[in-house]
Amino acid sequence: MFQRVSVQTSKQAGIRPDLVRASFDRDYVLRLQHRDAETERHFVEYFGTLLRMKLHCRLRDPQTIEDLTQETFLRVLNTIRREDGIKSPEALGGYVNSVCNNLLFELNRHQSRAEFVSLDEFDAPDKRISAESALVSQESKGMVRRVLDELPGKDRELLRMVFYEDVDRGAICRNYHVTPEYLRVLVHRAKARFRECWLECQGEAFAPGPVACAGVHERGA
Amino acid sequence: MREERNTMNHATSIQTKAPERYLLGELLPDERDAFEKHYFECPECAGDIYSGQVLAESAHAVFHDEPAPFAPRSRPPAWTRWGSWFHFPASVPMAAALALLTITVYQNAVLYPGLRRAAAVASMPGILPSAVLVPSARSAMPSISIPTSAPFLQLSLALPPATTAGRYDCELRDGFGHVLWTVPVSLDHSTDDINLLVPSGQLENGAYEVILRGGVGPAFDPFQFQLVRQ
Repeated sequence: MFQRVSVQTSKQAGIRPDLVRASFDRDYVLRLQHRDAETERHFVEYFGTLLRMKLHCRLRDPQTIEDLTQETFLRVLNTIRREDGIKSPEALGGYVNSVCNNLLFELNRHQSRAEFVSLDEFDAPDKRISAESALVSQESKGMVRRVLDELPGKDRELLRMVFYEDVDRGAICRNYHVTPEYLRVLVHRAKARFRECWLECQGEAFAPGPVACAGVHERGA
Repeated sequence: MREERNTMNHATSIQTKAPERYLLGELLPDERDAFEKHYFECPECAGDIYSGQVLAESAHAVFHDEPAPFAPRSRPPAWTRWGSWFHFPASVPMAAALALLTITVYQNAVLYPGLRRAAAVASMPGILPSAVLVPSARSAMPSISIPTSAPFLQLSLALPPATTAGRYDCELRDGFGHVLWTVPVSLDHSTDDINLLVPSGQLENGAYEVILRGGVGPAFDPFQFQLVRQ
């Protein structure tokens, strides 16, 4: 359905547990207009991550997610390279989001019209978020294991129900006698601890002497 | 494209714990659109969502690698279990007898007469008010008029053609966004619409929306309606 654009994906580029920020200003857009390789790489990596996260909430088929991501890049970059390109560079993020929304709308309309899908064309949704997920690395697994090990047993079990068993949130709250707010705070704290853990490990990795967070750097070492 | 009702800034995002609710799939479609629009322009929230997503997927992989949790319950020694018979408080039988008496009086004086009246009403034939709803993005909000005395209202939700099979949660929310009740719904490929029997006794005049959450396909627009009791 969609064309492909030949840019490096974040999976090819490698995963970092944090996003590299940039100021989206006139200079940034000008560099994209002039096909600056470093800026294009940042654009694809930064917005590729955001687009995949957004699309992951709506679609489960990895191929469709990738196709929509690539098509969004293609349309945004084509617009940027036109004479009358983007009027407000600071709203680049909002523009990328709205292009993606339009593509989702087109996809929904296309699916609504296609009443019959033959078995050959049918692409079953891939419900696996597993060790093969693009966002998971040995480093991130090591850090998350460390965060989970620090939690009390009940909180660890709650996160297992949320992230692994994918149990209905209402059922979790009823069975474990917690409120939805408790779950939100638990996820917030786990997330904050995960980021701390990453910063600690990053600091230790650059520090002289033996690396303290052994086991976390299983892949990268 | 559907117009977004909400906009979000960084302060609102933090205040409402939007990143956590986004990760937990708790945001309504409009809130989710507004938050996505925000985090595409806010590097801080984008970083927050990104680390949350890495956490979620890495946690999934970690739990996947672990054996299933098994926690056998330790039983107290036999002598403790038998010994506990001798520590049975004497006030327990008295409290139980009093509770039983209270329940019996309540049943005979209040519960049974009320049930008899309800059964008499339920055995009479009557007319069930009903309405067909389509997702709100495709139409204006319909107004449904029902008699004040109607105990139930039947709602037929016409599902969009792109609906995927799976398990959903069907929620009824009032105009303030409060969830009044949730009912699980299983859809198969041949389901075109969902028929809901809504207890209307507690519903006041006003706007309501039925929301289908869950499943694997694209999110649904809410089924909105205006209830008028006559």
